[in-house]
Amino acid sequence: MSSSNYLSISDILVTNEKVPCKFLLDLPKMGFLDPSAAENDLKAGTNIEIPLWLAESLYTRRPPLVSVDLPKIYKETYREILNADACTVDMHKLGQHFYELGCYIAKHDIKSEVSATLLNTYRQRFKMILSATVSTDSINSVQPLSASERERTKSAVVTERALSSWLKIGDCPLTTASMIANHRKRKRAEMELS
Amino acid sequence: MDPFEIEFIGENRIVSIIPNFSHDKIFLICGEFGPFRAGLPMNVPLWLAVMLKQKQKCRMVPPDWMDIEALETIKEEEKISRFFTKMPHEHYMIEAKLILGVAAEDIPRAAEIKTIIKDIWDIRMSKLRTSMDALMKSGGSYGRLDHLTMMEINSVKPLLPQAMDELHRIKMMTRQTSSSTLNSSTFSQSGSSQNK
Amino acid sequence: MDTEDIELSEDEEEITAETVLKTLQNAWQNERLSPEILPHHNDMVECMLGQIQHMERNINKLPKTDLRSCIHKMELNRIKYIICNYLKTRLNKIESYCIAIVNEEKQRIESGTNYLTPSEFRYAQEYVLNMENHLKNTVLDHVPGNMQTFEFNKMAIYPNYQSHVFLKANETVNGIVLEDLLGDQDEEIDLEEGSQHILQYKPIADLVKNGKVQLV
Repeated sequence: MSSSNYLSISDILVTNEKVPCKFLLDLPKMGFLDPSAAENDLKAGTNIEIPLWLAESLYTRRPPLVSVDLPKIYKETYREILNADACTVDMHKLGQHFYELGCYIAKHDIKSEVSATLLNTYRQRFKMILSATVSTDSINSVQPLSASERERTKSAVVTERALSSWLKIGDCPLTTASMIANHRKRKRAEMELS
Repeated sequence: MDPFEIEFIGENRIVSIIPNFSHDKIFLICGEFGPFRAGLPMNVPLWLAVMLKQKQKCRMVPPDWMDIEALETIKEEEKISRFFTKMPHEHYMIEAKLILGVAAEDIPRAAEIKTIIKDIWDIRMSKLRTSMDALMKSGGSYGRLDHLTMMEINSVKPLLPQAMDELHRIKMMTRQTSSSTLNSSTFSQSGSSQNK
Repeated sequence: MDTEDIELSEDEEEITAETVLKTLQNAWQNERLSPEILPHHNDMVECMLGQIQHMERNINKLPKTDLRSCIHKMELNRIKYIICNYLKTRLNKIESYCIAIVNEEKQRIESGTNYLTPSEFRYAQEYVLNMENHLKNTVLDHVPGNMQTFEFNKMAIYPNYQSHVFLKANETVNGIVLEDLLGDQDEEIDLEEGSQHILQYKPIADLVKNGKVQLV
């Protein structure tokens, strides 16, 4: 229906993210899943982090073998911070795939507040993309953006550059008057001297 | 689209020139133009005007709107108004750039006009940023954008439409999952691509 | 100086070359900006290609230094760009969405509402076939027998009808319904003539096809 893509690499990366799970049944010979366990069998009640694709398939079994917990960025404490001011959160550190993983994880939220947080966060943080687009720092320099926010910024920068090169080209460049540019240069020169 | 493609579209606009040669009507696919009478103003598409000017076969007639007073009024209105005001026409920036580029000497006070047009453009571009942010904050699923020109609209692609797409995708995915928790369909195949 | 040669004989066709060009230009612009492939305008393309050939023959009769020669050449180059880019854009879409397009087109052919020209359809079918063979030769033939069945349709990529597009209304259209996914409060908007909007492609797809709106 929508733009689903069987071979989407970013989707494969997202579903490879680890999520905290609690095993609900004893699983013989599955102890290797828990790095801290010494036994062969995996005991009911064990909490470990496993990749989302695995968690999902264990969760959708009847009866489910695991219950999926929310990764901490989607938990109440972080939700409060995000709802207060989403722009203060460093997604580069805390949620590379914040929105994408959030979409998958939302159904495991009993209060179903994750969805609203995702939308609200996206709307608030849009202005960060806007300002990153015009900022002179390179996109690769440390910015608290998630992977997809970075992608957005990159393509917006391409547009921005194409437009400014259009404005500059020709016999009559419609850009900042050269006086202002010179003024800035002089200022910088002065600063460097002092 | 590339800005040069928008320029290409804008170049179909009809402008006035004064040829310095005489010639019969010329029958182009996009219409017939002429006859050319040396010293008499006539209408041609912008691309043809630029070409003739480059060959020094004509002078440009300044478009009505390329007038300091008229532009000052537009600039003031643009500053005051919360909304985008109506520009002289859909491709004002392209016309300005091309005409001032090849025929600055034909336009009285060309340098000042250039500055005002650039001011107007800058005011509108910064307003465009604020409006994009406001549009996203207010829901981000629909917006009305009267009086924005094609070049201006093009400057927010793909950012704005993609951001709106993404919001929609979050809504779709979280709604589907909350309404059917028993969704046991092929999980890893239901993913949506982030970059089409 | 027989400009008459270059002039169109208007009584031959009801539609003027100017109108054909305008239609093509709009079709090109819409094709560039719409997520899905649009119904083809092959008649217009053919007509314009004929026109171009005719013009080129006449230009060749003009002396090289004749001003008209370079004006006409310039115009023809502009039109050729539109046509090439239009056809290329369609081919790109056919390649990206080949499986979906071939499946949908088969149904449309039955009802006589095909979007693709016969040659585009042939191209699409061959493209799908080549992809299938390639996957078979490079992967499927080398994996264990029980893994060799592969539902090719699963690989289909669909255009995103929910993507947002910019449009300008050519005429007033009332009552466009914007679905509200969360609040179940669908919103209705009117597109006044000349107004511009950004909204989802899906509810206005038909308006693009019947020319009531233009994508910008």
